[in-house]
Order: sequence, then structure tokens, then C-alpha cells
Amino acid sequence: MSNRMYTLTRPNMINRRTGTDLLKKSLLLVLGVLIICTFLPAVSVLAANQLVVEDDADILTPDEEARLIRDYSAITEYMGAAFVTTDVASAGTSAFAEDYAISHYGNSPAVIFVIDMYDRELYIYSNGTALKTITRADARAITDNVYKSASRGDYYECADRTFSQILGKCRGERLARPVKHITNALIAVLCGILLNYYLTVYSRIPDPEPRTKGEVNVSVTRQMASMPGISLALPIVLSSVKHYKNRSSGGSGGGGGGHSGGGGGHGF
Amino acid sequence: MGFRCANCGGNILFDVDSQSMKCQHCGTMISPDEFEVKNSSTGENVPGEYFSGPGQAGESMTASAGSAEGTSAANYAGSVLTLFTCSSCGAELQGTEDSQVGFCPYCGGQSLLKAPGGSRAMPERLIPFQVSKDRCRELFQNHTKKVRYLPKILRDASHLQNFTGIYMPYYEYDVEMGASSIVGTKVVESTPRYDKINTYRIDASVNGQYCGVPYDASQYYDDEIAARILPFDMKKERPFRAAYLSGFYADASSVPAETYYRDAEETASDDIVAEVARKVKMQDGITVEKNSSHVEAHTRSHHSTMFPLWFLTWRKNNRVVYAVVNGESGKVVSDLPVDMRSFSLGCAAFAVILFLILELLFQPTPLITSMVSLVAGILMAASINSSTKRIFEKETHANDKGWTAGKDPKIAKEGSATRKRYPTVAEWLRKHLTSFLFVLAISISVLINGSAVNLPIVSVFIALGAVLYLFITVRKILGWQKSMPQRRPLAAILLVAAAVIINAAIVFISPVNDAWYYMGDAACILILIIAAAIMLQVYNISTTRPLPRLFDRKEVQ
Repeated sequence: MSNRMYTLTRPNMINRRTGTDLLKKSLLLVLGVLIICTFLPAVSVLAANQLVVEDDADILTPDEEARLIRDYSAITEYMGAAFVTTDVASAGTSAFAEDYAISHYGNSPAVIFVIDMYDRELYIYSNGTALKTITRADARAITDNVYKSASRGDYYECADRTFSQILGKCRGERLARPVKHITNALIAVLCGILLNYYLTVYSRIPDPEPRTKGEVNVSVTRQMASMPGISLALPIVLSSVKHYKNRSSGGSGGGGGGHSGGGGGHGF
Repeated sequence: MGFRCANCGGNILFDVDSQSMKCQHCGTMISPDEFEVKNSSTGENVPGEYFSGPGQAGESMTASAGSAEGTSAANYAGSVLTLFTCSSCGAELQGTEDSQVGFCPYCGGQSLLKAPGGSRAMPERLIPFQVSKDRCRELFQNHTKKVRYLPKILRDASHLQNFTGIYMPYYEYDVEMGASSIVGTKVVESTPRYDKINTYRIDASVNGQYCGVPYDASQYYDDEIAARILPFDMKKERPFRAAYLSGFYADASSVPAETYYRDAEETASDDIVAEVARKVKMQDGITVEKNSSHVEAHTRSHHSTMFPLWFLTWRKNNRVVYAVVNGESGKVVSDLPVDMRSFSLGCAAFAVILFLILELLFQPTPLITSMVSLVAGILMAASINSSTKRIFEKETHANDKGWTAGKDPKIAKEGSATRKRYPTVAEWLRKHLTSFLFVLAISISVLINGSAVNLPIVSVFIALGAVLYLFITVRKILGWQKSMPQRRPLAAILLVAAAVIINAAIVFISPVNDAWYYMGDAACILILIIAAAIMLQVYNISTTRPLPRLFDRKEVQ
């Protein structure tokens, strides 16, 4: 990169008097560029004010990529945003999304939408304060709403609808969750009946009581009138056994956080 | 014929509060002993001629003593007691004419008719009623105050007027105790690496007699209620007097006394072991292993007695619901069916609260919804299984040893119907199959996935466990069904099985399209909701009892 910049400078503008200064400036410039290049992956997206699209799986046309960037760069007013596709094996789509977020955004708030063509899975990952806007449940709901587009092979529509919902959520709109309401209602009715049933049944189980009212004791002659009582001799040891405890019961804790994130996804 | 007042000729009934015979007309009171000694010695029951001197009640004044006084007492009882029979269920009860206001305690019928024939054999002793009818109603109301979803009729004051006082026959067994074999354990040394546990043989000398272990002597009086209504305070036992029965009914013994010999021995042995365990724990810190400990016990003798009970019987759809109050201690034992309407309202309230919580905290996924349905299916199957087993036991009197012994004297002689039996390995595995599969699922999932639980694997195991458990349960219920007229348990379990099979199929196939998941889950949950309604009906049947048919009654002398 530094060579390229050097060639952009015209040779006739170099004079001998300023040659040393220019050399120093050039060295500094090269050093600066090198430093920038070193940290480029970490800061390049942060500096961007538009949606990042990395279509490694090549499932979108350049025109579709451009439309996505045009329509959804507004998300970057709230958090970093990236749309990533991949078709290589990874430790899992969620792990891939998390690695991408950490390597490109660090602790800065960001939302990453991944289409993993290898595992056939959609995943939305958000971190930092972005996790408060796009929660795991939101991520799950959004992928629930769009997975059918991906199943049909219409990846642009899938991404378009995903970022449309993310942008809406950033602007304070509510996500459509028809399935959630219906499913929760059915689960609530079923669990309500079962909970009520078990509480009712168990509250009616009587406490066990002794058949007789007397006690086996010399002084109590209510029912055991001729019971002479119980005399106990010193107990005899029959056996002595050592029971070893589980060695893994001890342990150490520790470690630290520093990064928090989460998301939700869906196969397609 | 009943008991008549010497002063005015009015009816004399036993007054619980004063524990005396009280004239309902002029209020004259007299001790039952004094009343009866005079009348039984003269063999008459003539107004104005009761014995008013100092009490002469002696131990020989029993119906079965065989002495001249005893014989006359028995004759006297026969002369003042009337045999009634219930035209509805065939129950035979003894009482005075004044008892006719009551209801048949066995079936709740109101048609108790005078029957030809003399009185039945009376016991040697009885505990007179200590709890009045008013107090009984009060106790029952207190008992049911906190019971949710109780049918309204069981809170209805006018219905509670139907409590009928009845003396139930019991046997009291005297058990002689012998050698003991008691084993206990104690942790004598505990380090972070190991516990050193000593096993002890405890030499307990328990020679003596364990007196008064009670078991019911009426074939038609349910053994379960008979046991739950215990204990009675034997200190309040009195020699039998027919006068105590004035205003009440009495059932007669119809079960051979040998029936409960072994049960009495087990009860005595268990009680002694429990007491030794308490003492040894206190003295030496040794924990007695009750299952491995035993005290030899031999039933030496028994005597018959009568215990006072207040019975309330409610008939519904050819079933009866019993509420019984111990006439000595006031303890209440009751069948408690559930009122469907108020239960439904309660379910609605629970569902609304749960829905709000779920909406706030829970984002359902198809897999988790499937797992919820499968677990609900397993729980429901367990409940239906348990209720159906109770219905089967009540219909066939499987646990009612008195009933069985009354029908077949051989069983009475063997006397071993309720002996403890430890489950076989196969039975234990069947019982714990679901828990076993669940633990296996979690373990395998953790092994495969490292530290985290792998939900798809767990769901497959839960589905497998649910299908197997349902298969076993359906088979059991089909077996019981042959001896039961009810068809609801089978309907309920088949619905649950259908729901579980649908859900398990979805979990096994694991379709990508959520629509299949959600449609399957929705269908499954809707089926389970219908099954839950039937499950409650099954529970209600299990809390009630079949209408008794006692026309083939036999009496044990």
C-alpha cells in the first residue's frame, strides 16, 4: 500500500533541500499506514456508516447487495450492522456469528445476520447494548418470520425482511409474533389445567396417621396395657465400611467476562 | 320398641354432651348403666320402672359373657333393638325405633325398613359417641373450609343435616411380641474423602403384649375408611350397653376375626421397630433400617368392640361419596370430588396468569413446545394411571380385605392379602422408566455436547420415554378395564397416547418447516386439553365409590 502511494507522488516535485524531510515524512506515513493496516479489521467496520455485506457464499447479486446497503445503512445510526454469508464448515453458525462480531466489532454494539449455507441455518447475533434492542427472543422471532424465504432460496428477500425488522426494532416498533401468542396461549391453557389439577389433587392427599393412638412406652398404658417397655442392650457392630466420596466435588472457579452477546437462529 | 322414660313415657335417647340417657320430653337424665341394669334384670322395658339406685354396672354385663346377667343383657338388647334393612342397597342395621329418622350410611338411601328377625350379635365393648351431631357438622365444615372446588352440596347446611350416627364393629387384637432383629447404621467417621459407616445389630428386648390393634369387622365398611378414621382412644371404651345405641344405628360383625391376624402382627411389629428406632437414634445416634428390621409378633386373642362414627353419604350418578367423622376424636375423613365448574374457572385464572408470564419471559420454539407437550402427556398418563388404579381397586375391592374375607373364608384363614411385598426388578424398572430415560437423555446429551444440554437429543429421549410409558399405561388400563364399567379412563389415556404419538413423530422427523411443528404441537395440546377434562372426570370417579349391593349379606357369629 505504501508503495502505491509513493508512486502517486510525482518525481519532479522532489527537490534536494526537502529530500530529507520528505524521507522522514514518508517513513512516518509508511509507519502510520502499517499501523492502520494492522488494526484495519477491527476499526474498518466501526468507521463505516453503512451496512457491511460480506457475501462469501455468493448468494446475492451485486445489485442486491447494493440495495441492501442503500436501504438498511440507517441501522448503523443505532449499532454496527453486518450481513455475512458463508458456505464453509465452522464450529456452528452461532459460534461463527459470535467470532465475527468479536473480531470486527469488539465490544461495540453490533448486530450480525448470518446465512450459513453449509449448516443451512440463519442466525442473528447481537452484542453489548445491541443485545438490549435485539434480544435473543427478538432474534428468534425474526428468524422465525423469515426462514421460509431462505428455504425457497430467495436470500435477498430473507435478508431484506430481516434487516427491515431489525431497523423497525431499532426505531421502537414491535415485532410481529403471531406464532408466539398462539403457542403461549395453548401452553398456558394446558399448563394452567395441569397446575390446577395437581395442586387440587395433592392438597387432598391425607396425611398418614398411626393406626393406634398409644405409644410404645412403659409409662403409657393406653393401648399397650401389658407392654413392659423396651430395654436396649449395647449395640453390636456387625460391619464397618468406608464409603469414599466423589473426588470431583471440589474445584475452582474463575475466569472473566468482558464480552456478552447472544442471539437466535433457525434452520432452513 | 325403644327406650321409654320412667317419668313421662317419652322417648329416651343417648345424650352425647352429658353422656347420659335423656328423656326428649321431660329432660330426665340417667346413666346408661343404671338404666340397663334394672331393665335387663327384669327382662322388661316398662315405663316408670327403671333402676334409680347406685350404679351396679359390672364387667360381667356383656352380651357374650355367658353368665346369667350377660344372657339377660343380650336378651334385653334383642328386645329393644330393631333390625332395619335398606331397600335400596340391602344393608342391615340395628337401632331403636327412634333411629328411623336417619339415612342408610352405605348408600344414602332413605328407605330403611323394619326387617323380620332378631337382633344381631352385639360386641363386648363400645366407645360411646363423644361428638354430637352439631359438633360433627361443625368439624366437617372446618375440614372442608379450605378444600378448593368442593361440590356445593358438601357445604350445604341442609345436606349436612343428613349425618347419621352409626356404631361400626371393629376387632381389637392383642399381639404377643417376641424376639427382635433390628439393624441400624451410623456414620462414625467423616472425612472429606470418605465416610466410615458402622452397621449395628441392636439387641432390643420387647417381650410383652401389644394390646388393642383395631381392624374393622364389617364386610361392607370400606377398609380404607376404617383405617383412615383411626385412632380411637381406648380409654373411653365401656362394656356394651344397648342403651348407648339409642338414637343411633349399629352394624354387626360380618368378617371372620382371623382375617386381620397377620395385619395386626405387622402393625405391632412396625410400631415397635419405630419406637426402638426413636430410642436408639436418641441414645446412640444410630439410624435403624426399618425395612431390614423386624420384631416377632403373634396374635394371641381378640375381642369385638364398636366405634362411633358419623356418616354422611351423597349419591351421584350411581356412585356414592362418603364423609365420615370419628365420633370419639372428631377426626374427619371424606371423599372429596372436584366441582367441574369451579375447577374450570380456576384453570382459566391460572391460564391467564401463565400466559402473561410466558408473554413476558418466553419465546417458544417448536422443539420446546413439543417437549412441553410430551412432558404434559407423561404427567397426564401418570395421573390417569393412578386414578384408574384407584377405581379398579374400589370396583373390585382389591384392597378391601374385609370384603374379600367375607366372601371367601379361605382368604380369612390365610390372612395375608395385605402383606408387604417388595417390587421385582422389572416392576421397579417399569415404574421408573421415564425418569431413567430422562436422566439417560441428559447424560448422553452432555457427553456428546460437552457441558451444555443438547435439546434435540433430550427431546428424542423424552419422546421415546413418553411413547414407551404410554404403551405400558394403555396396556395396564386395558387390563383393568375388564373389571370396570367405566369407559372414561380408557378414553382419556387413548387421547393422551394419540397426542404423544403425534408429537413424538414430529420430534423424530424434525421437519425444517415450522408449520408442521406448530400444527403438530397445536393439535397435540388441543387433544391434551380435551384429555385433561376427561382426566378430571376420571379423578372424580376415583374419589367416589360404587353403589353398594349388600343383599347377599352374611353374619359372622
